[in-house]
Amino acid sequence: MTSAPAPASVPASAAAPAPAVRLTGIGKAFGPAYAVKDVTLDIRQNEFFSILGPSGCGKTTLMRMITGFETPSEGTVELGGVHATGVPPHKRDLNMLFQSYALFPHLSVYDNVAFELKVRKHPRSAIPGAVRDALALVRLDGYGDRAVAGLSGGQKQRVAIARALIGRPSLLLLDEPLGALDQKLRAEMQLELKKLQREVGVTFVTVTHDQEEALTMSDRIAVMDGGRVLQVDTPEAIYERPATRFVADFIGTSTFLTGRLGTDGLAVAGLGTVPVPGHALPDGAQAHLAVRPENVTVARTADTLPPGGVALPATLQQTVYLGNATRYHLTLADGSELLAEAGGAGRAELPVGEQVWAGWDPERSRVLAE
Amino acid sequence: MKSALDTVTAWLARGVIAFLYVPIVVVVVLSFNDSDITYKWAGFTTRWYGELARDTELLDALRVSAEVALLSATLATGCGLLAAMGMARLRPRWRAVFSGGLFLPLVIPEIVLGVALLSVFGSLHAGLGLTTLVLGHLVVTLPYAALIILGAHGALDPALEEAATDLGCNTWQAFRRVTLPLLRQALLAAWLLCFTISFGNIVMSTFTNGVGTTTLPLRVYSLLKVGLTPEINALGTLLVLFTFLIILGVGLRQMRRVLLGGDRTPQ
Repeated sequence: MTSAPAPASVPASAAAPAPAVRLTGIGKAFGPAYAVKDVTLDIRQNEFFSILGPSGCGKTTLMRMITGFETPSEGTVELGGVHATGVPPHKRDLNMLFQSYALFPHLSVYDNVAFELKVRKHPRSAIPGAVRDALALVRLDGYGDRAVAGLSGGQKQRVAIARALIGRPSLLLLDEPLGALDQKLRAEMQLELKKLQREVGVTFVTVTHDQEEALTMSDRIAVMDGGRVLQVDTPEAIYERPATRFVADFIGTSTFLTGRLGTDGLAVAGLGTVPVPGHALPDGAQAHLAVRPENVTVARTADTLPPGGVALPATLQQTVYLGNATRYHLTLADGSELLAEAGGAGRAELPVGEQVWAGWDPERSRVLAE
Repeated sequence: MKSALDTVTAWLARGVIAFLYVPIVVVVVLSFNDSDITYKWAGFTTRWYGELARDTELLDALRVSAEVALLSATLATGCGLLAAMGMARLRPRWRAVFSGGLFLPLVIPEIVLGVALLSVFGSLHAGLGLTTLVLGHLVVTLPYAALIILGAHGALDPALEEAATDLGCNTWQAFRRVTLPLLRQALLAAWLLCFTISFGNIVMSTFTNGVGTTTLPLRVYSLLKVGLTPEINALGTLLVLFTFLIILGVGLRQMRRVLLGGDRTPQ
C-alpha cells in the first residue's frame, strides 16, 4: 500500500506509538441536525475496537469520517499520528469491509482480490502470489477463477476480507460485518475475525448494533447513542461497570430502581432504603440502581436468600423458560419491575402470582447518575 | 390438462409472432422477385440488388441516415451516462425534478418538438443540415437512453464505487474500472435502441433536415409518390441482415459471458 502523500506532521510522541486513529472533537452535521457530536476517541494500534450503538446513533457516520467518505463538520481525524482530515479515501492507509461486501460483480474472485494491487501499480509478478496468500488467509484456496455471483454469503465475505487485507492496510474498518450472515455462521465468524485480526496484526474497527458481537470480539468498545460516545472500555468493564443508564440498559439487561441517595443507601419511594455499592455521587442526588437479572436470586422465603445482601419482597408475575436459564418477572412493593435469572442448579419451581423474595449482593449492583 | 383458454392463448401468441415477423419474411422474399409489381411473384432474380448498388440517391440517403444515427445515438448514450452519474449525486428532491425534465419529451408529441425545434433553429439563423438533424434526433433519443442508463445506474450498489475508492482508485479510475464495465450492457442497449429510433425517424427529420441531408426514411417516403420499386425490398433485406448480424454479435458476447462467468478485463 502506498503511504499517504499528505503533509505528514511529526507524531506527537516518539516514545509511545501513535494511536491508529485519533478523533478530536469530531462532529458531523447534516443540515441543522448532528449525526455525530463532539466525539474524542483514541483507537490503539493492533486493537480490535468496536463502535456499538442502536441504529441511527451515528456510528456509521463516525466510521465514514474515519474512511474519508464523509468530511467532518468540526474536529480532526489523525491516522497513525498523521493529520488526515480532508484526505480523500484512496490516499488513506486503511480499507473497509462493506456491509454489502461490495464485491465487483464483473470481476472474478482473483481479480477482486488483486484489485488494489493492480490499481496501486504493484509489480505485476508479485500479484499472483499475494492473491494466493490472501485467499489462503481466508481459507478460500483455489477459488480464484470463480465468479463472484456463484459464492455463498460466507464466501463472499471471505473474499471481501481478502480483498481488503491484501494491501496490508494499518487499519481495517468493518461495517456490520456479520449482519448478513445466519446465526450459526455468525458465531463462527466472530471467532474467526478475532483470530484473523491477531494473525495479521492490523487494527480492526467494527461498527455494530449487536452487543454480543461487540462483547465477544473486541478488545475495547465505544458505546454510542444520539451521536455521542457514552463510554469507551473493555467488554468486561462495559458490562460490569456501565457508566450511564443507557449503557446499562443497552448492553445486556438491567432493571433499575430509582430514588434519592442517602448515607445508608438509595431511598426508593414505597420500597424503603436499598443498600448500594460504593459510588462517587453526592448524598441527596437522584440516582438509578442498576441490577443485572443474573445477579438477582429469587427464593420462597427471606432466610433462604444468600445472607448479607439486599432482600426485598416481590410478587412473581411470570416465569419464562429460556433454555439455558429461567427468567423471573417480579413486581416490587413500589410497583416497579425487577428481573431475575437463574440457570442450572439455581433454578427453582416458584409459584406464579404469589409473594417471593428477591435479593442480591449490593456489590453486584451499580449506582448511576440520573 | 390443457384448458380451452390455454389453447386460445397459445394460438394468440403464435398469431402475434407471425404478425411481427411475416412482413420481414415478405420483404426478404420479394427482394428476389423478378417483377416490377412488388406483390406478385414472377421468378427469382438478384437484379434489384444491382439496381440498388447503382441508385446513388438512395445510397446517399442511407449514408446520411447512418451518420445521423451513429452521431445521435453516441451523443444520446454519452449524455444519458453523464445524466445518470450526475443525478446519483443530487439530493432526492432535485433528482425527481431533473428526471421529470429529462423524460418529459417522451410524452410530448414528436411533431410538436419538431415544430418547436424548427422555430428555435430559425431564430438562431442556423442553417438546416447534418448538425440540426443530429440535434433533432438527440431530442428524440435522449429520453430513451436516459431511461435505460438511469435504471441500470440506479441498480448499482453505491458501495461499489466507494469500495473502488477505498481500494486506491481516484474518481476517474473508479469510473473506468468499476462503474463503466458494470454499465456496459446498458450502454450498449441504449446505443442500439437510439440508433434504431434515429435510423427510422421520419417526423423529426422532416423538420430538421436540410438540402443534401435527406435521410433514408424521408427518401423512401418521397419515392411513394413516384412509385416504389422492388429495390426498396433489397435495401430492406440488407438492413434486416445487418441488424441480425449485430444481434448475433451481441448475443454471442452475452453467451460467452454467461459460460465463462464474467469476462476478464485486460489490464
